[in-house]
Amino acid sequence: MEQQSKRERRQVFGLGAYVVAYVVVLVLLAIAYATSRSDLGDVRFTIGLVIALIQVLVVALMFMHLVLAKGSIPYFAAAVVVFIALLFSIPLVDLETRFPPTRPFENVHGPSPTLYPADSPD
Amino acid sequence: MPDARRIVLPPSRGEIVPHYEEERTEAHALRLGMWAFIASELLMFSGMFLSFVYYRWAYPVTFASASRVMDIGHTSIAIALLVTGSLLLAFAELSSLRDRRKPTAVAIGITALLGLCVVAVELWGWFGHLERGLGPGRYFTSDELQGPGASLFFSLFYIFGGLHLLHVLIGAILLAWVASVAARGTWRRPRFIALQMMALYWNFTVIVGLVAYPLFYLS
Repeated sequence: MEQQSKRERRQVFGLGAYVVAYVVVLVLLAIAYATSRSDLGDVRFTIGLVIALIQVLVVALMFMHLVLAKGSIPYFAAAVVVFIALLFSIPLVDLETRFPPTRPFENVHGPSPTLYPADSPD
Repeated sequence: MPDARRIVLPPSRGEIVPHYEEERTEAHALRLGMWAFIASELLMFSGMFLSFVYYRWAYPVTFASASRVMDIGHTSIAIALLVTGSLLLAFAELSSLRDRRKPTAVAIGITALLGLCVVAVELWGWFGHLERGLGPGRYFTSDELQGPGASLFFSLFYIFGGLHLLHVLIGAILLAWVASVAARGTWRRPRFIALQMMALYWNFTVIVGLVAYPLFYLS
């Protein structure tokens, strides 16, 4: 029983480490919120994605204990990342290499013509 | 050959399930099973993220405009509550290891309440959007945005948000059950594993919320 308890204790961090991770995620959330209020154009989307990536890493490594995981679980988690990367990369490569006339109107020419304008007579 | 004397049924009362020879094998199998479940859920949400990325590529101007008219405040509060739940569950795991029943049950119970608060706050935000005509599909009646991509943005928002809220709600209900079991003190050996399973699930909902945040609010 004592041995089992020791083994279980090796699967968690101290409370201080969790508090630091919590503060990091909340500070990053505040930065993302501030970014949404700024006028940074397309850069804010990139900043938001980078912040989300860091937050996800903190949650997965600390709160989900991926750093302490042993056996097949880290490989399993890595396999998930590979599959998600494949899921995204193949369609995105397709989209970015399409012949321009096959692209949707707005992707090539900017705002789409309004189908139902607010000032339409009907 | 497992020692038959160690196998005491029923497993629900805290004993090892018969086909596991020792506790750590059972614990590892349970964790791996939970990770497999989370992996399948992540792949499902990834498909939805991918659909969002595709339509953002097709309607870059409209999607950028749509994300600017969104009320980001409610979701920011909801994510802060979800992350607070993660901290509380980590505290509950530590308390559980020290056999401190009451703090464990209280921390899990508060996390369940936070889950319900997340659902309430998000629904409040939804009603705000709907009042402004920012509904899905044919319920999109707003004059703030125009173009065929606008209603599509909000269809994705409500489908994705609804599925995420459903997961949070299920997590809150399960956590309430785990809290009641912890409070009664009727769990014994599997207490830590059960809590770890729930914490993994909760943190999965946090991850999904964190990834959705820049997509819908910072596009």
